[in-house]
Amino acid sequence: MEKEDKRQLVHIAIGIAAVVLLLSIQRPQFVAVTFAIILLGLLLINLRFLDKKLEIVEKIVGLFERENVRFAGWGSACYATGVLIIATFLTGTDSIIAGIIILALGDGMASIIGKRGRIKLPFNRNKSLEGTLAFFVFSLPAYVFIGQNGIAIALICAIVESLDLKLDDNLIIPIAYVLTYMLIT
Amino acid sequence: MTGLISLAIMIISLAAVVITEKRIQKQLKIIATVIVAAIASYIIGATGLVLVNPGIYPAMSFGLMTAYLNKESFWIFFLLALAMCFFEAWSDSANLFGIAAALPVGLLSFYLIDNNLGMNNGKGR
Repeated sequence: MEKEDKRQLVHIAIGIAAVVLLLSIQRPQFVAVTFAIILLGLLLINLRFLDKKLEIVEKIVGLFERENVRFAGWGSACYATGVLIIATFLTGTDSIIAGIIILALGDGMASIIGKRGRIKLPFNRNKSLEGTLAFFVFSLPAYVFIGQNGIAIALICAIVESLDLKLDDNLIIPIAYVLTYMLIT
Repeated sequence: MTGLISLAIMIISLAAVVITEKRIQKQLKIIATVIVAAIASYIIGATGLVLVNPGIYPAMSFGLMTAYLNKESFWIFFLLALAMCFFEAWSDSANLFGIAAALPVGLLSFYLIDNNLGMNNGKGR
């Protein structure tokens, strides 16, 4: 299994863990935990910048971090921030779970399938049609939580994810999800 | 009175920027981040599209803190941001969700300034 595939599987697993956590505790506690994780993560990123490296952090970075990133931990920080955006700006547990599913499962599977795709998108040569379709299909479980709005939102998020925006996917997808959800419902 | 405490922490934070950062371009970038964070928080709250009002002062503090992510002085701004959150919560100016929502607003404000407005283009942070 390639490193990027492992990375995406961890991405999906963390999303599922977040859903389980949200179902186990109340929304305020979930927001507080996510908020604390981000602050702790930022502290660890700062320590790494200052060459004060912790063994466990280095192992995780070595196992899962991409090589061409802005800095180690950037993707994870964006992901946690994305979850926080969904959990703070939406109030219903179902809508938050649907958002996390789209962010974790949709985006994760889009990366795994998309990089094996052969049909490049005309407006973004870095992404493939197969990846965008995978995003949409694997975002459909959102339907279970928010009904048919989930299909429309999954489609819009898939389109937004396929665009060549300068913003990280882990940030743009939650923003697109929250805005679309607020406008549709 | 409580609003004055938040304002005082923000003034202390900006003074710390002037003390710790000598490069004018970086200072401008940080000030731009703080302004964008304040405007974004205000707009999100004012539109009424979402039920959460991100705290304006916490968002400014988090934006400022993010600008120092790769610096030794990060912990100063980290503590100032925490102090800001504490006083905002203590004075009922912002609740948990308002403070939590301010974090993405601050992070995104710096990200947008750093990445998209051509100010250093993400390099030399």
